[in-house]
Parts: sequence; structure tokens; C-alpha cells
Amino acid sequence: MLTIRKQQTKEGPLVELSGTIEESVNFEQLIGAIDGVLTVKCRGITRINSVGVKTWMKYFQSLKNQGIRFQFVECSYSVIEQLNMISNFACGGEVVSILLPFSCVGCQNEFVACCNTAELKASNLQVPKAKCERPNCGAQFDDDPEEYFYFLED
Amino acid sequence: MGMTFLLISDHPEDPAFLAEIAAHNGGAVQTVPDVKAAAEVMASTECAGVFIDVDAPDRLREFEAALQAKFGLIGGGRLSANVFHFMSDRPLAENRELTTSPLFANFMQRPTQEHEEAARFYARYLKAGSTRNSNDLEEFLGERGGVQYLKIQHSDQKQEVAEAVRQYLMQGKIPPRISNIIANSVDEVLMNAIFDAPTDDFGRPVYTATERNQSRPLTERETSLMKIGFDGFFVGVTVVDQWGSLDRARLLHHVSINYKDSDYTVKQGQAGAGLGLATIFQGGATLIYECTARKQTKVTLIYRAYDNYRSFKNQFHFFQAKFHE
Repeated sequence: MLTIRKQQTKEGPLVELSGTIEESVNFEQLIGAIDGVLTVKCRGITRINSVGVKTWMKYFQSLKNQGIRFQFVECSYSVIEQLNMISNFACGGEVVSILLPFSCVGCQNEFVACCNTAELKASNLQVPKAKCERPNCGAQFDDDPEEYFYFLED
Repeated sequence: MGMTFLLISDHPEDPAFLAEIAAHNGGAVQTVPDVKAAAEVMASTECAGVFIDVDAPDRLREFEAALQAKFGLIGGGRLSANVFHFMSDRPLAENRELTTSPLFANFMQRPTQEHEEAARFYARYLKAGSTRNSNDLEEFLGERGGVQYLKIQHSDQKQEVAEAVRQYLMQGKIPPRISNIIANSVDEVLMNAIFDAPTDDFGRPVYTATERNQSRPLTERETSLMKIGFDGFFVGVTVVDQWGSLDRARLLHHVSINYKDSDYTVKQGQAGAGLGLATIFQGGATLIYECTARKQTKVTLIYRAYDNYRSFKNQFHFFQAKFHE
């Protein structure tokens, strides 16, 4: 099930998606009319099934065809997985920022850090350092950087 | 006499891998120098498995030719593809030409780490699933697996079950990201069982073009049986439909497709159009299909439950597609 929170900003609507994107999702109904640039916050998207992928692409491709601008911020790893698996998953939208998964060897804590894609590209896709909130813990990036950042490569 | 496992390979790691498999299954390895020798052995000995290194150039086509010369038309009844196991250093998505071989049934990308564990895993499943065993998941996971059963009787159950699987895995201390991936795979295989498997009297799909959010009670034959278990090391899920309508060519096409470097085209009325299958296998699952024509299709997913995603996604996994008349 997908839940949505909407707010209006100076640039346009900001929608925050949380949950699962699957066959019952209707983006047109959930997001409604768009005036300005649509910003989609993807932090809470936990999984996307194959019909959800199709629904997503159909919706954002139609926005693109209508000349509506859109961007994705705080993309969760389930969105990153699709961006890496399907070359045109962003449908022309800009991926502004992504979440980086970390896990702690010491305390098994899992956490994410948000990173701007422009900064990542500027650093030649180097994983930024992150610290576990617990003292004396060693956090490590819990994915292969080369694969996780594949969609950012030119 | 024990079982014979035939090996055709120059790869230095394959003999040890196969020795582990043979030992686990109470058999012996026979290594042959080339495909003609392999065909000779197969003509005189019943082989429980024929393992072939498909990275050697032209070997597979030469093997097909040697078998054809010895046995006649492949698929003519004297040979079953189910005994052939292809071994490669490259993933299936980079080995798509293999799926056009009539010998294609089992594929593994060689492990890059933990070779012995990988061989034991393969051996364990080979033993559990060696015949048309309806309890292969139970045998694979053993008593510790605590396999649970669920009958899917309504299309609306799909998402509820996927969510229940996610919760079950998280309770088993499996990290959220991994739990979500496994839940998504369950979602995909249930979707196939509910919407793609049912056929009419002429074998034509009934619901393939139906919207996947359709809410409908399932008829007795449309119900599927789902099993799930976790032995603390492996998570296993099986979904069995009662149709046996799986299309081999479509399955192999979808499971080996690579969307990374070419655009995915959204088409009307084709649901996920195979994307789900590619996601499951390329996401780390061992994916096992067993289809008995017009009776049932059984799909089993096995994941090693690592405590971090990095290990999880790079885990040794394999693909099997066994078909029976």
C-alpha cells in the first residue's frame, strides 16, 4: 500500500511517497494536478513490484510528454535498484538526491545517509564517510558502489 | 551402483565443486576430456547429472552435435534436458545464447567466494529436488525450516501475503532491505500463479491481459499452494499452481533479459511483461521451476539470509527449469 503526503512549495508540488508501489497505485489520482515542477520524495518507498514499475513509468512518461518537469529526491534503495535495473526508469526526471545504505559491523545497526547526486558525481562517485550514532562503531557502505551508482555513470 | 555425475570442464575449480555434489548425493564423479567422450559415457551409463563448463568456446554446440550423433534428435525422448547443468563465470544475462539450447535446464554462475558452501547448497537442493518431489522444500530446509503452508484463494490475498512474508522475515532478524526484496519476489510469483497460469480448455491464457488489481475469488483449480520456511540460514518459498502451463521459451527469455543497457518499453495489457522474473533472479534468488504439463507448475525461491545486503546480493545462486510431460 502506498501513502502520500502533499504540500505546495514555491517551485511546485512536493509529494512524499511511502510504502509499496504495486498494481493498486494510481498516480494520477494520488498526485492530482501539477502546477510548476513536481518534486517526488522517495525516502519511504520500500518496494516496487513489476506492475508498479510499469505504472510508474507510464505516469512519469506521460508527464514528460506533457512537458511537465519533475525531479526525484531522497531516493530509497528500492528506487535505486530500479534506476540501475532499467535504464529509462527516471523517464527524463532529474535524480537530485539518493539515500546511501550503511551497516555497522559492530552493532548490526542499519542506517541511511542522504547524498546529493551532483556532489557524488563531483567526487567521482566516492562513497562519503558516515558514522553510526552509537560510539566506537564502524559503519560500512552496504552495497557495491560501482553497482549502486551505475545509473549515475555517464 | 552409485550415481554417476559426469563432468566436462577445464575449469580448475569444477572438479572440487562436483566432488562435493557427488559425495553429498552418494555418487561418483566421472571426468571426460571432451564432448564425444561424454556422449559415449551417456550412451552406456545413466547419469544423475551432466555438468558442462559452457565458457569454453563452441563446446556447447559441439556437445549438442555429439549427442545428436549418438542419440538422434535431442528432445526425442531418449534424453532429458533436466540432467544438464551449465556452469559459467558469467551471469545468465550475459549468457543469453545458452537459453536457446535444447539442453538448457540448469544454470549456475560459479561462486566467487565460499566455494564449499556453494557446492553444498547446490548438492543439498539437487538431492531434495532430484525427482518429482512435492516435499523438496521441506527436505531442503529440514525440520529447522518449520515450513508453513498457505492456500491462496482470492486475488486480493497477494499483497497481504507479501506483507506477511516481509513481517515473518523481519521477525527472523533478516534486515529490512533483504526482507523487502524477498517479499517482492513472493509478490511476483504469486502474481504469475494467479494471472498467468490459468488457461482455457485449449491451453490459452485466461487472465494474462487482465489488470493485476482485479479482485476475484479463485476457483478451486485457480487456487495455489504456498510454502515458506527459514532454517536460520536459508529462506525458501514455494508456490504451486494447478495448471502446468509454463511456456519454456518465454520463461528463459524473461529470466535472462538485461534491462540495464536498453530502454524498457511500457506496453498495454502485459502487466510486468517478464520484468518480475528478471528482477527475482538478478536480485540474488535461486529460482527453480518445475512444470508438469497440464498438471502443475511449481516455483521455488531460495535465498541465503545474510545479515548484510552486500553479501546477500552477491550470493551464489542458480536457476533451474525442469519440464515433464
